[in-house]
Amino acid sequence: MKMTSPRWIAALAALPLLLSACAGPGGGDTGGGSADGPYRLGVLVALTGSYSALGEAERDATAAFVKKVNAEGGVNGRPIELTVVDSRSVESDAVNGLRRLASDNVLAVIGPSGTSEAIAIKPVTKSLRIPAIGMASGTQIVEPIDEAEWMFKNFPDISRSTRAMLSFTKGLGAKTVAVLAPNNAYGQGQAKAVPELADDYGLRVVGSELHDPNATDFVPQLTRLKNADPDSVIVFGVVPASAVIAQNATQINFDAEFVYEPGSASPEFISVGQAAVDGRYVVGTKALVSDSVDPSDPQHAAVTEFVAAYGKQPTQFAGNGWDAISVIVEAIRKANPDTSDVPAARKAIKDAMETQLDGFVGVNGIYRYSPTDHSGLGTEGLALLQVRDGKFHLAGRLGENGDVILQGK
Amino acid sequence: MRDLIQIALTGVTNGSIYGAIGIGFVIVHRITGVINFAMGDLALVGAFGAVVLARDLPLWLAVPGGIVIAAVASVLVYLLGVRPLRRHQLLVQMIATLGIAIAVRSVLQILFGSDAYQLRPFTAGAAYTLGGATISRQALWVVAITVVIVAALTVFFDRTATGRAVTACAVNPFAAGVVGINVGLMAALSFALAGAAAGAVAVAQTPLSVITVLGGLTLSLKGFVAAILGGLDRIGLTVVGGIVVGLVEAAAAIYAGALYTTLASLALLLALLIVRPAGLTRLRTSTRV
Amino acid sequence: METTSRLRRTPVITTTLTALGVAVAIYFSPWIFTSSYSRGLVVTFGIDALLALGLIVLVGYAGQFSLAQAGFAAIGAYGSAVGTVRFGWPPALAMVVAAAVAALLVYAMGRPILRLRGHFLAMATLAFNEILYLLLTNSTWLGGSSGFGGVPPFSLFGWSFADQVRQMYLVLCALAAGLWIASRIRSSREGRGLRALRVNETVASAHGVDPARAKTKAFVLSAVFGSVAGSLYAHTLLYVNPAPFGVMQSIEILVIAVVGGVGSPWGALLGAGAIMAIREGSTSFMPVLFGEGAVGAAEELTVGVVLVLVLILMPGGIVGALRRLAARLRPARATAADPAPAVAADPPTGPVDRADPPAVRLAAHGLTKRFGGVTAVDGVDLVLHDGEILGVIGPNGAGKSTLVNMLSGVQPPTAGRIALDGRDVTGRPAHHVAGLGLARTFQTPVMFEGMTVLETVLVGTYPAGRSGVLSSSVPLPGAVREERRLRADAERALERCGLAHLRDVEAAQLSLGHQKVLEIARGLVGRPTALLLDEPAAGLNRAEKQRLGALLRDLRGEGVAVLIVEHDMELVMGLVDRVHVIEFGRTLRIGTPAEVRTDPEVIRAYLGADEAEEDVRAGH
Repeated sequence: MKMTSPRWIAALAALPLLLSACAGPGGGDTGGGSADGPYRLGVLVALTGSYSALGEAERDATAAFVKKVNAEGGVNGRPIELTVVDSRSVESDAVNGLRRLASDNVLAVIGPSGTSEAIAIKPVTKSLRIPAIGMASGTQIVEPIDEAEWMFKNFPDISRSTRAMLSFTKGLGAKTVAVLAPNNAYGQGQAKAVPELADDYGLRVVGSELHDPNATDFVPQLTRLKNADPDSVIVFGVVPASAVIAQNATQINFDAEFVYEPGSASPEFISVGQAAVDGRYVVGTKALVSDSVDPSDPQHAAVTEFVAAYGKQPTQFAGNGWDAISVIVEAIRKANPDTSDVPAARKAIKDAMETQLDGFVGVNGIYRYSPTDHSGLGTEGLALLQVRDGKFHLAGRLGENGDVILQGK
Repeated sequence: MRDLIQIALTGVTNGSIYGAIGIGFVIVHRITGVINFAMGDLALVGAFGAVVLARDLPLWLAVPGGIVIAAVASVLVYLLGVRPLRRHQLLVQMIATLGIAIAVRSVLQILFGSDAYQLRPFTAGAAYTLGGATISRQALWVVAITVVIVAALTVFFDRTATGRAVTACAVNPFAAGVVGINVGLMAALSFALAGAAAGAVAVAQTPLSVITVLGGLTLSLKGFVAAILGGLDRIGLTVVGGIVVGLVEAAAAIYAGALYTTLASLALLLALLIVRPAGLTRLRTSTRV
Repeated sequence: METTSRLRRTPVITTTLTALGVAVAIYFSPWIFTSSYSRGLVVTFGIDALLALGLIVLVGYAGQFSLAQAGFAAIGAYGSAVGTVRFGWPPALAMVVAAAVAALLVYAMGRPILRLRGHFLAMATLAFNEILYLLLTNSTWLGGSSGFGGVPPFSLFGWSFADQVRQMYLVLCALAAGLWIASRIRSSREGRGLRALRVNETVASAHGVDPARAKTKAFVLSAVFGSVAGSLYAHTLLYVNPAPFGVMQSIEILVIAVVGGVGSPWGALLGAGAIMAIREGSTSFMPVLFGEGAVGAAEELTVGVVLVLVLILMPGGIVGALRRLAARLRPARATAADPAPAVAADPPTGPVDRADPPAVRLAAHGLTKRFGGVTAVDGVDLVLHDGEILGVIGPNGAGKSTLVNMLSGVQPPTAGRIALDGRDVTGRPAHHVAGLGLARTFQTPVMFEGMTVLETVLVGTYPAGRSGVLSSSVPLPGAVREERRLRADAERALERCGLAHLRDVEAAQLSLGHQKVLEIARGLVGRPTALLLDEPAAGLNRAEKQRLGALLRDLRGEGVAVLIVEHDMELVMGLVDRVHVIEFGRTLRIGTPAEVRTDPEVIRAYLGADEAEEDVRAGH
C-alpha cells in the first residue's frame, strides 16, 4: 500500500493536537494574577460518569453560595468567580482538569467528587502548589500528610462515619447488626470497618453483604441477611440503590431496624422509596430538616442560609459542595491574600486553612483543620433523621462527646 | 428449600428480561447477520418512554406507548446505522452499532441525567409468597408478558405470510428479492419487532426497581448470553437461555456472594463461546462472516 | 516503509525523512506545548495513540475485532505499579514483565477464542475485559476499587522521567518506536500474511498462512502494545485503579482506531488527535448548546455520531480520506499498455512423449465428499506426475472444484486418502499442504485490497520465508536478506508472467484477465512442486490463453506437476498430457486427449446420447 507523503501526514497528525492546545489556556502556569478583580476559584466535579449525581449537586451548591456571597458584597469587598471543569469521574481527566484550572490561575480548587480522583490529583496539587478540597471520604486522600500537603477533604473518614452509624444504631436499641454495602472502594471500606469497631459499641455483627453498585435487585443479599436475624441493618451506599433496598426489604418482610447512611440523605430516597421507606432512619445532614433544627444548635444559622440559598431540596452532597466552598472562602477572608502574585496567594490560602479554621461551622458538620489533619470533619454535625409521612424529621443527633441524643417521635 | 424457591423466582423474573433482550439480538441477527450492540440501550429507551408518558397518561396507554417508542427507535437505528452500511463487512456494521449504542446512551443522559426513574406497578397489591419465598405481582407481569411475546413471535414467523417473508430474507436475501420481497422493509420490520420485544419487557420490569441511563451495556451483555444459548436463532430457546442466566446469577448471589453474580454470567459466556457456541441448540453454527 | 511510485527506487530516503520529521517534532514539543495542561494532553494523546496502534495491528492488519484493549492496558498498569511499589523492581523490568504476562495470557487464551469469528470474538474479548475489571475491583491485595498510589515515575539507567517535559519525551518516543515497528511489520512477510488473512482466510491459508497462529501473533502484538501503554499510564499518573480499564474504555480505543483509519499505523495518531480535539473543543462550545451539566454526555454523543458518520462516509478513517485526496491530486497515470508478449505465441503443440515413467507427486485414492445428503465427489482415484499436465474436465456441477479443494486441503474429504510426495496429507489443513510445496489458484481471483501487484505476488512467497513478527519488527540482517530474496523471486515471477510492467499498480484495479494471470504468478512464485489451477483460462482472451499455455508448458518442462481444471476444450486438448474426466462426482475416463475426445461415454456426458452416436459414426 502506498503511503503518500508520510511527512505531511505526520504534520497533519500534529495539527489536531496543536489546535486543542490552543483551545486550552495558553501561556505558562504562574503569574498572570491581578491585584484587584474577583477571586477566581475552580470547581472540579464529576458532571458525567459514575459520580455525576454527586457532582451536579456539588456544582449547584457552589453556584448558589457564590450568588449569595456576591449579592452581599463579596469577600473582602471583592466578588467570587467560579470556573467549572468536568472531571468526568475519570482519574486522568481529573488530573488534566486540575492542570487546566491551575493554568487558568485559580486560587484554589473545590473538588473532586470521588475518592480515586482525589487520590490521583493529590501529588499534582503538591507539584503545582495549589490547594484543593476533595469531597470524598477515602483516608488515602489526606494521608500521609507530607504527600497531602496541599490536599484537603471535607467528608468524614470511613472509620469516623462508621462510628457514627454504630452510635446511632446502638442508640436505637440494637444488639446485633448486619451490614449491606456497595462493592466499591467506599463500601468495601465500610464493610471492613464495621466488624472492627462494633465491639466498642457492644454490638455483634451477624451478617455482611456486598452488592454490585449498579444493581437494581437486592433480594438475594437481603434474604441472606434475613436468615441471620439481626436487630438492625446498616445500609451503606447512595440512592437510588438504597431506596430499592428498602422496597426489597419490605417485599420479603424483613423486619429489622434499617439505618441508612448519609448517602441516602436526599429527597430522592423518599420519592423513589415511597411507602417502603416510611419509618426508616437515615443518618444525614441537618439541612434536610432545617426547620426542626434547634436555634441553639450552632449549625442552625449555616443550615438555614444554605437551604434558603440553594432553592431546591438539599441533599448530603449539595451540603458538601456548600461547605467546601465555605471553607475556602473563609480561608480567603482570613488570609486576605495579594492576588497579583498567584503562587503566594495560594500558599496564603492553604496556610489559613490549616491554622485559622478550627471549629468552622458548616452545614454538614463542624470543621477542624490543622497542619497535620487535613481531614476536617468529625461527626458532630450528623443527625439522625426519620422518614414520616413522606418527609424527613429530626430524630436525634450526636452530642459533643459522641453520645446519642434522641428526639421525641 | 426456601432459598431454592427464591432462586427460582428471582431467576425466572430476571431471566425474562435477559431473554427478551436476547430475542432482540436473535431477530436482528437472523435477517442481517449483525449483532446489534445497542439492544440493551434500545430496551431502556422504551422504558424511559413509558416513564415520560406515564406522567400524563394512564398506564394502559403509557406502557404500549413506551413499546412503540422502543420500536421506532430501533427502526431509526436500522435506517441510520445499519442500512447505509449493508454492503460493508459485518465487522464494520457491528462497530457502527457500537457507535449508535454510545449515541443512544448519551441522548438518554442528556434528557434524563443520572437520576433514577420509576413506574408505578401495573396492578397494586402485596407480593405473593411461595414456600417462604416472595414474588411480587409485577414480576408475574414480566413473566406473563414474556410468554406472550414468545408466543406471538412464534406465530408470526411460522404462520403469517409476512413472517415467512422475513424468514426468507434471513435465509437468502438475494433470492427473496428475486421473488419480490422488499428486503429492506423486512429488515426494518425485524428491527421494529426486536425493539418492541425488548422494550416491552423492559417497561414491565421498571416498576420492580428503578432505571438509570447507565444500565444498557450490562443488559446487552446478559441478553447476548441468552441469545448465544438460543443459538442466535431460536426464540423460545433464547428465553430459556435467559432464564438460565438469571438462575445462575441468583444462585451465585445467594451461595457465593454478590461479587460473583456478574462474574458468573461472564464466565458462562466465555465457556459457551469456547466450548459450545451453538448454545442449547443442535445447530452447527453458521458463520455468516 | 512502503515505496511510493515516484520514490520507488529510494525507499530509504522516505523512511529517513519521515524519521527525521518525527524526531524533530518530538524534540521541539516542549516549546510548542508550554503549559502544564497542554503537556498533560500530549501525554494522554501519546498513550491513547499507542493503545489504538495495538488495536490497529489487530483490526487493520488481521481483521479481528477486539474489545479487550483496555484490559491489556490494565495488565501493564497494574503490573508496573505492583512491580515497582510492592516488589521494588526497576520500572523497565516491571514494564517488560507486565508485557510478557499480557502476551502469555493471550497465547494461553488465544487459540480457543481465535477460532471464533466476528461477533463471537467480539463478545469473548468483551467478556474477558469485564472479567478482568471485576477481578481487579474485588481484589483487596490490589487495593480493590480504590487502587493504590505511590507509583514512582519511569526511570531508565538512572534517568528519571519525573517532570512533564521528560514524560512527554518518554511517551512520544515510545509512540514513535511503536509506529516504526508497526510499519515494518506491515510490509513484512508476516504482515502480508495477516493482510491476506483479513481479506480471505481460505486463500491466505492456501498460501501457507496458518490462520490460528497468525491471528494469535497479531493478538499478542496488540496485547503487548496495550500493556506498554498501560505501564506508561501508571508511570505518568503515578496511581492505578480499575476504573480507567473498563469495557467503555476499550470501546473508546476502538473508536479512535476507526476514526483515524485502521488501514495504517498513522491512523492511531490521527484518531487520537481527532478524538482529543472533539473532547477539548466540546468543552469550549458545548455548554452554550446543551447547558453545562450535559457537556460530558454531549461529548459522548458527538463521539458516537462521529463514529457512525466515519463508517458510512469514510470507512478508511481520516487516513483513508487523506489517501483518496492525495490520489486525486496526483496526475492520472495511464494504465500501461501491454508490451509485446514476453513469450512468443506458439501454435498449440501436442504432448511430449515420455520415456521413463515420471515420479508420482500427488496421489488420491477413493476420495469422497458428502455434504449432508449430497455426494459431491464419489470414490475418485487421481494420480498426478512430475513434469506432466493433467487436465480435469467434466460437465458443470461434476465436482471438479470440490476435488481440487480436497486435494489442496481447503476441505477435508469425507473418505479416501491423499498423499503428497508419498506423505499422507489426508485432512491436513490448506496451510500445511501449501508448506509442503503444493500451490493452487481459485476460480474467482481474490485480490487483497490495498496491495500492489508486487505485494500480491509476495504473499505467495510466504511458505518460502521464515521471518516472524519479532525479526520483522527490527531490521535484523537475516530478515532483511530474506526479504530481498523474496522480492527478487516475486519480480522474476512477474516477468515470467508478463506482468512486470504493472508491478506497482493496485491489484484490485487490474482487468480480470490480468488478475487471473496474477493469481498464477502468486501460485508459482513459491516454486511449488505441484500446481493446481481452477479454471485459469476463464475470462482470458486468445492471446492471454496462448501465453498461459506457453507458461504451463515451461513449468512442465521444469518438472512441476500441473493439474488444470478447465472448460476450454481447445486449450485443454492441445496442452495436456492426460485427461481425467469427472461426471456426477465419479471418474468417467482417464486417458490421453485423443482417447478421451473420441470416447462415446465422454461425448454423451457433454453432448447427450444421440449426438454421441452421430459423432462416432461420423468418424471423429
